[in-house]
Amino acid sequence: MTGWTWQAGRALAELEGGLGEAAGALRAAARADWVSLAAEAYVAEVLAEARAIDALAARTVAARDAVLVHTRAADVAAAVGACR
Amino acid sequence: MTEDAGTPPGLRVVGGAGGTRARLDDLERCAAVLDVAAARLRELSGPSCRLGAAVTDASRWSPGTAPRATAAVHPLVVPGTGVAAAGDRAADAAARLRTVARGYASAEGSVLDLWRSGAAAGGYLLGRAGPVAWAGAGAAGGVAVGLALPRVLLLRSLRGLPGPWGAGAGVMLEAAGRLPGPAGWALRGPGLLPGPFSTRTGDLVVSAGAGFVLGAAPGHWLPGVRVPVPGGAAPGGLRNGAPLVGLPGLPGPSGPPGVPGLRPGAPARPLPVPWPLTVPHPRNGTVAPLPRPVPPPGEGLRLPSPSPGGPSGSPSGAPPSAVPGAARRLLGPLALLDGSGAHELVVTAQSPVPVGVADPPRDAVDLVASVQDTYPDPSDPAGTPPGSVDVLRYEAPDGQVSHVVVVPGTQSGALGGAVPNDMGSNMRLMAGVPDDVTEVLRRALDGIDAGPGEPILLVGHSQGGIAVVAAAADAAVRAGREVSVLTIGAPVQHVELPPDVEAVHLEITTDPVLATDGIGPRDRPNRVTIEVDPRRSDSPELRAAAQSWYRSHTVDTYALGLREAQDSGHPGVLAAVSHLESFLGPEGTTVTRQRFTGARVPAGTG
Repeated sequence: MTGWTWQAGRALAELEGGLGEAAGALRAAARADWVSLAAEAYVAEVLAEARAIDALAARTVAARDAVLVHTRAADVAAAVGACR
Repeated sequence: MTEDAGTPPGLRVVGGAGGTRARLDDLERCAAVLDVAAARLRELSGPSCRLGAAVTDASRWSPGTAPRATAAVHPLVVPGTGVAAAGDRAADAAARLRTVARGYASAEGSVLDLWRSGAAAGGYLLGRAGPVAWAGAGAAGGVAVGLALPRVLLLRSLRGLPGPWGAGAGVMLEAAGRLPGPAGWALRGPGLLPGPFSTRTGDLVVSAGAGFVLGAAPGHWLPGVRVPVPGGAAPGGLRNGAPLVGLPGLPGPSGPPGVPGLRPGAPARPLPVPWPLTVPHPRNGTVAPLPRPVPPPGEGLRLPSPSPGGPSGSPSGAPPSAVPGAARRLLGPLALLDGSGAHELVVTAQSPVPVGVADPPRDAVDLVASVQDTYPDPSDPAGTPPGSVDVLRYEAPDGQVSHVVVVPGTQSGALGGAVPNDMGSNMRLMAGVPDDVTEVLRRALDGIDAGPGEPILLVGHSQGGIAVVAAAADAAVRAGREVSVLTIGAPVQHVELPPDVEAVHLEITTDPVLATDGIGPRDRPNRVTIEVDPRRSDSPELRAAAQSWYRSHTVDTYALGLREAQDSGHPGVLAAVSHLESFLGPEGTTVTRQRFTGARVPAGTG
């Protein structure tokens, strides 16, 4: 057992949590009063960045199944190989 | 500044939570959040690399599932689209937001500063040019006024013509009155002559006057005489009149050589106390002698000087090291002028008395109007003595206690005498050196001994406003106290207050006193300036007050101005009023008043 599933699962969890935090922070920043300082372009940019981070988080979630299937298969193959 | 389309004419609210400066702070906070997000995203490059490595390593044992897994993690780890790239973009956005904030901050007020610098430089150059140029400029100014005045009178009188011609002229002039600059100023308003200057015009006049005085310093214009410019100050460096007194190079305490009476070490000569005083009553303008302010023996509690050898903070007892360096140069000659070195300040405290249910101020307008009670009334010799400071103690039914300390304005035009609220104190306050009005306030604060959690609102009109801001700016006064400030018609925009002191400044634009700080309202998150132009008011009383500099400065006019600003429903005004009324307690709050009275007595007799 080489633990690729454990490594990948942990990395995926960290990524999902961290990306969610960053996107939430950007959305909170975009709600501030400085919007009225004719800085709507910057607000739009911040919100676009938050959406880009959301997309990364969605890709992370979408990758989870493929990655875990792959790493579990590798872990099993490696374990069988070690038994032989 | 928060003057927007919804603001009624004549009202301007500067600073506070809705001001540009506060929004710039928000912009900075947003940049900080972006930086935090960028750092978090960059931290995530570690897990994304580990994920990519795990998938790659596992491919050796499971080559069949590898392509799908590799394709799934590719967007997360590849440069340009991965989390590290997102972090870089967030950091870049933060940097650009900071650039925007700096741009707004530098643009804020720079145009007005340019005008002030230009006025100061013009005044300075004229002062340097000498008496011949002054005479020429005076003659040219006289000719210009002589040419312009008949035309202004003619144009303004056209509106009074009966019939359609007059109505048409009135409409045209009303439209022309919206013009900026001298044309709009000359054509606007009722009457045949233009109304008083606004404080913004006054700012420029003060700057130009300060520059002129500096340039016209004796000797500059005499042929063959070269006197260095004080401090080597360039005209462009002059921002306003108030700091002029603190410029380096002014004569020191010993005075210029050869001037009689200003010899080094010459004893200060006590000036005669000008009794009886005759000052116009701030409310009705009547002139009557005021009673001598020394209380009868045995009445009240006499507050001792905090330190032996003279009252600390009092002009006569101030340690030289406590005075700003440049201002110290002013202190010596001023002490000789007002004779403060020969006087001692005595403050007496009456016992607290309950205030009737109807008497204490219960809302912000009442609070402003109540400042009048701290002025002496010439028609009531038994009333408030000169030099008094009132402290109102509000105790709510739930036990919450707050204090409102009310300091009146100038009550004597003398440069010394028994009344501390005199012109000498004005000069000291504007120079930023210790004065007796602030000293009375300090001792009143020491006398009430407000406990922790008992907020204090310092309220001051005119000179009293300068004193309360000076006190609030002093860390020793704030120590252990939660202090807020309300100034009424006080030139205090040049005094910095720490961010934890909330301040509300009421200004009437035709009040000439406000221009003496040489600075217009500044935008700061913790300070709200409510500026009311009475010439554009719906209230006949306010419009009438606008025709007189004196009435523009009275407490009653300010109370009317605040009521009108409050009626506008402007969120900045309502927030400021809510803050002020938080000190006055809810229904059922009991109020006691304690009066502290300061008087100067000859040294050694106090």
